[in-house]
Amino acid sequence: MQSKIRSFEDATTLVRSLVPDLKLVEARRLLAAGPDKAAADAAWTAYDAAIRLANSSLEAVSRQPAFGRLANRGLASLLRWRRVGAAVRDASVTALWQALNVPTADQLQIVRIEIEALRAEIRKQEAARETRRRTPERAARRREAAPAVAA
Amino acid sequence: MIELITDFTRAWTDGLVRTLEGFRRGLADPCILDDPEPVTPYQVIYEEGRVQLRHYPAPDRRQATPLFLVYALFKRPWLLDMLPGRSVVESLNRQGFDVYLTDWLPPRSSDRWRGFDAYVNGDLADAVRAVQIAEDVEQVSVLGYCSGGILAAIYAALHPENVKNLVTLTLPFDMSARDRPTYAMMQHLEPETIDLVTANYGNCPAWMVKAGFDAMAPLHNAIDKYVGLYRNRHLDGYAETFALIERWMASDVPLAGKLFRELAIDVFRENRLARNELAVGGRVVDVREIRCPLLNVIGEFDEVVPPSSSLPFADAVGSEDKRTLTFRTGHIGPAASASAIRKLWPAIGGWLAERDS
Repeated sequence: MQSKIRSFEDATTLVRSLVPDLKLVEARRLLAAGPDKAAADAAWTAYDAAIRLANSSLEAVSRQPAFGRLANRGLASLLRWRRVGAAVRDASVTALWQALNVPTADQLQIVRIEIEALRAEIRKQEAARETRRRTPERAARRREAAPAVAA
Repeated sequence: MIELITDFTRAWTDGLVRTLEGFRRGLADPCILDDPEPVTPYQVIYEEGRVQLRHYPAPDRRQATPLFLVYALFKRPWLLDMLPGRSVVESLNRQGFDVYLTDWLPPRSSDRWRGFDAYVNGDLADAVRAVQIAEDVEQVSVLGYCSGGILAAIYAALHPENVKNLVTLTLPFDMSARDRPTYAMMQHLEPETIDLVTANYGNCPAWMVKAGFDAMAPLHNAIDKYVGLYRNRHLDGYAETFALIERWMASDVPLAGKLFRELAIDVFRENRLARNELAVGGRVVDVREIRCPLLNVIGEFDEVVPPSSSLPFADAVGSEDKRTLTFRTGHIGPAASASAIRKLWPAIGGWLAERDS
């Protein structure tokens, strides 16, 4: 209810800003009594009301269950077709790659994971060496008490 | 009028380039990071799994309990250390806190199996343990921001013995609050669609995360923020802050496949965290197990996490010492606004300091 009242207020502000305020500003301008600032203020008031009105309309639409269901269905269809496309591409590219004797993305991924694991192992050993070098005896005793924590 | 059109066009095209660059970075595996130079110096004291733990030592330490910040999983954590004089970390350091901050590393395609269990019982628990060892303390104060608040709340419920105080900042907790369109739309996101996302991409891609955030305020993101830049261009520092926040807005990272499923289905759609039914690592998360002092901070005009979603958390926990603090700001205001640095963070620091002994 509150949002409806707010939307109504925005709509009336918008109309009032666009029609009487701007007319008044134009009249003042003709009489050389109104500076440009008044026109700018009226235009920004109209702009703010229009944005608020558009926002509340968009929110009202996107809150509708039908909109949510439609968005879900649209996304699902898009993803399903993307999956089909990816499967077709992968099948044809894999066949071509094998014919050319070039490693596939999956094979590269396996190598990458192995390299990452080796890097992690090196980092862990370096960190353990550094900790041993730096940590005072008290912390070393704590680490011995909870060996799984030291990593 | 011509000035408005040229300024708007320039800002809009800059925004488009930033978005597309973020899109390109998010498509790489691993996701390419583009963080600015840190304002406050730090040391990485621990790295394992998908977390890197930063330590920001206080120049004049006055608080015994270290403060452990759990940042959100969606974007990069440099928002908390963005500008000199407007840095959350700097403010906490000045108040005498030794700060530890989680830098969640973007998941790679091989990390699709990671869910709440890996992030909370694995990375987060190990990082807290690293602080306990480094500081020789039994407990830490934990502060979770946005989705980092979800991780912090789950951690505090599953490992209450390690948490001295808990601060949640703009926590999305009760998802039955449908007063935001995105929350309402998430209700219709079918598990089958989530499965299709992970079947296609493994993880939830960064561009999809960004689309989700942009959809929360489409007109603001497409037009109004650039018009706002034009209208405030005379304010000192406004354009520079705008550019930094825009850069941060484009810093989305992918979400690990399993975590995306758990967040979208278990937390958002089925509201299991609020109903004490969320299963993590074979245990049910019961937030009533949280008995430490709690400070629940809410952004009154939060456009991402509605206050109605965060408010019930204080009633749900088992703590006797609990307080809800409402601050007149939006979602990123607590981290980025000058008034938050002036008023909110001293209030949070004061609350923690009172419970430091």
